[in-house]
Amino acid sequence: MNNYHVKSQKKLTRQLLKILLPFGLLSIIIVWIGVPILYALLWSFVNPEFPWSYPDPFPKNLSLFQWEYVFKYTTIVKSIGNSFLLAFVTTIVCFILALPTAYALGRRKLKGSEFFKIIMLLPMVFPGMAMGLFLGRMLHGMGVSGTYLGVVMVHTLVSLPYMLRILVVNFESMPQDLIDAASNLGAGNWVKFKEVYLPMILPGLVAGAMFTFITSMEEFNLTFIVGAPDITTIPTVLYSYLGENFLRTRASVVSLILLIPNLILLIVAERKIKTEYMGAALGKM
Amino acid sequence: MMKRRKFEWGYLLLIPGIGYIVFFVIASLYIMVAQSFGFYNYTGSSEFSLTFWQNVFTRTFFDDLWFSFRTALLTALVSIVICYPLSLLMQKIPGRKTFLSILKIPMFVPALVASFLIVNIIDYHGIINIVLVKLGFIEEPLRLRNDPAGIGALVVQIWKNVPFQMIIMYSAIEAVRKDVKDAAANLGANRFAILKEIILPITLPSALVAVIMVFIRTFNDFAISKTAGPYYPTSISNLMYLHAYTFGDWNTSACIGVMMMVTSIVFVSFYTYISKKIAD
Amino acid sequence: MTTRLIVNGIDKTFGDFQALSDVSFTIEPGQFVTLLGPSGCGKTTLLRVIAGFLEPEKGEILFGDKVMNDVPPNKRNTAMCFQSYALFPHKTVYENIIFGLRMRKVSADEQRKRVKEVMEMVDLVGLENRKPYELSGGQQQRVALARAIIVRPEILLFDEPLSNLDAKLREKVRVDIRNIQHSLGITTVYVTHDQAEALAISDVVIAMNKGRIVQKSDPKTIYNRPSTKFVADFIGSANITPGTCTEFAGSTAVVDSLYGVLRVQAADLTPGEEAFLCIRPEDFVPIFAENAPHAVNVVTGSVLHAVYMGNSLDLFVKVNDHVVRISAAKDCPIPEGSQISFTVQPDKICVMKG
Repeated sequence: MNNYHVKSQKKLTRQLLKILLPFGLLSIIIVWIGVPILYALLWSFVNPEFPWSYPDPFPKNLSLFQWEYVFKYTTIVKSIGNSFLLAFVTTIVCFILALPTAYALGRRKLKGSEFFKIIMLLPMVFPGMAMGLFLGRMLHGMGVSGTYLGVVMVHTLVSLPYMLRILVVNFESMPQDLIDAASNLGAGNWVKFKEVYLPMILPGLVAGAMFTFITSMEEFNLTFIVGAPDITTIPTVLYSYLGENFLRTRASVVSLILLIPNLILLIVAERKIKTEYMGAALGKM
Repeated sequence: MMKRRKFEWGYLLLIPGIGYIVFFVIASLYIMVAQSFGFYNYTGSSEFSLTFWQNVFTRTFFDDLWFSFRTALLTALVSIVICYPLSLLMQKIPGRKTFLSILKIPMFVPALVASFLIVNIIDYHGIINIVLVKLGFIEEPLRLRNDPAGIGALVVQIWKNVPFQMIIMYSAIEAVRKDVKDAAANLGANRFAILKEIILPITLPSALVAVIMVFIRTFNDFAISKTAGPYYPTSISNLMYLHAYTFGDWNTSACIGVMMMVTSIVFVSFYTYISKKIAD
Repeated sequence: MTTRLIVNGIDKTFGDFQALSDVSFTIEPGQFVTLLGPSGCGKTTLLRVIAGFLEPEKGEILFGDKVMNDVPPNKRNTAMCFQSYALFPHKTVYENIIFGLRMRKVSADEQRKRVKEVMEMVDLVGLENRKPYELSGGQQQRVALARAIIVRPEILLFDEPLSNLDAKLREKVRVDIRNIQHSLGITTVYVTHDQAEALAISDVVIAMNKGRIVQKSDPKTIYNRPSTKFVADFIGSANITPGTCTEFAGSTAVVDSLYGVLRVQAADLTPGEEAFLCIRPEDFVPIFAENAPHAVNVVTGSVLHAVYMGNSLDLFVKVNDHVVRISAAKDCPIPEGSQISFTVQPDKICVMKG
């Protein structure tokens, strides 16, 4: 009887924990991530005639003034255009460059392919500022500093590892049987590429494109050096409001402008992208 | 004959991807090293000189290097201390997929935005100070942003890097085979012994990688410590930038860059060596 | 040290799926018992219930007279050999083997002594410092076995331990396992879907189907006297025919079957009763002119296929529109398409009620 009682009590606490623990964790996570974003939202709607200052926990009056101001009187619209254009072009360039290499590493049994797979991570570990300054010196010498071409070149350099890694994993996971079957049934190289490889590469392409797009959108160090002074992107504009002259309200608007496309992509990623590609992009060796 | 030709084709295919990366990385490295010895100057004469190397090791240099190193190490270690137990806990919780998705958000937040978001929270009239004052823990709001100790930058880095390590550790722990854990239990291991004898040693390599990746990312950081970190010392990237753009002294900047890479390489090798020793 | 294992009325469900229903049996101390059945029959589930990895909804597990239901797996003195071996990938062979002793806080001296003993027993001497990935499948299997027996468990559990080995090695290892178990005298439960393995290795075979025990007998009985159609069909190959008893006298019944009227030695059949008959292919004997006059239960048909098996010639014979399988001597000169008569002794026909 007693034993039974103890056991049922233990079970009860366990069940209680099972319910409480997720809720506890959820609230911590929401505070940890939600509150900072909420604060940025609040700041972006502060009415400048009623400044929000210590010790008010919330702004006294909200308005759309900051948003209107940023869009009307700053270069943000042009920078948004630049950011998306650069990200788009970078993604395409990355795909074109990565496709043959990823095929060679993923499907041909090349000697030393493990070595090349490590080599391609170099841009991820090379200090961004150092690369910006000294590669910038070279690009300056080539006369592409401050041009779209120069910025696309450096964006490609930092985004390419993601595209490469994901496509290599994609190529490696293709079943050889399927390709052999296609050859066996009489498919030539072009047909094989169009009918077999291309459909199978699509998931990797989507994942890789997403990561290169995000990397390009948020790239700061290299754009800051190589793009200056003519090419501004959302991050460099944001930096100008965060650096020496700190303009919180404007920074909050620009932050949110930069945050929104990334969050949308994250939601897409969660639904569409296989975990193995996520792992490939995030550094699982 | 056929076989040889095939091989050459395969290596040619590496050129667009690997070649592009190798070319630009080596170019950066080469110009950096060359400039540190007085070549490739924008203005004036370019000739071999050791003067820049003689003058680079200043007090500011060591302070900044130490700041970047300390922030990077603390970020990597604090994050793993948060991530590891959290990843363990996550394995059993209902709805863990949703939790993980929400946790991933900071990873997709650009560094500058992350910095701004956290600065808002820890600032003079950020929510943390308001809550602490209201609860009576402190009289006056604390200065956490741009604070001399660099706590602001550290908080931002941890906020951004926890999800990254979380993804690595969660999948590493998830990958420990159930039958291996069952075998341990069957041979008399309780939960703690399974953790200590099986899960920890098996996931150790992933944890090492996670720590190294976060260390390097943080050590190389420019934007976060510039916006949320102290005015002095600053990050080593910032010192490099300052020398190049504010002082126009590209050669010293290059010396700093070289030292930065050397520090990174020395640390990573030392760390790998030590952790291999511990693992054995 | 040897322990009686009692399984009493175990029910286990996964969602809507009834994995085990009302499973009960007793295993005597030191017996080697096989749980045999097709995949999904619940045999592995039952093994995991015994080990304590799964909690049954109903029923009891007893080791001797101790009820084990509330005892967690690490406190039950069982040792299991997993299908995947489940060796600790980061530990050496030596560390793998002493793991259970360390968990039981056995002294270092005793550890060394027992490891030496066990390593010799399973023939692993010299491989102490290898990691599992450096071993062959057979060696890994022996490490798993050593790791289990070194703790001197009350119950030894095997979950299809040989399924990852090639056929030749499998036969050798199963003899080794049997010998080691015999010399240690540990009560053993062994799960397999391989009927030949079950017959070769066990004292008792428990045949399972759809979460229930169908038959529990020694290997000979379960092969020669299967109690149901399922057992007859699953173990070895069998010719199964429904039949109706027309006469019963003494201990012999006359049964009208698909193969014709057969005389069957049976304990209890009443005229008019319906049952199934099981006849093993090797119990059919082809008859030729010289031994024909004395034969009972003569069946005649035409040979559809003759398949040479190496140790026998298997004939598929069409009898009254039904195919009968016969194992004839390997050098029997019977061509496909020929007419053939064959006979079966009344006592070789098994009567099944279900």
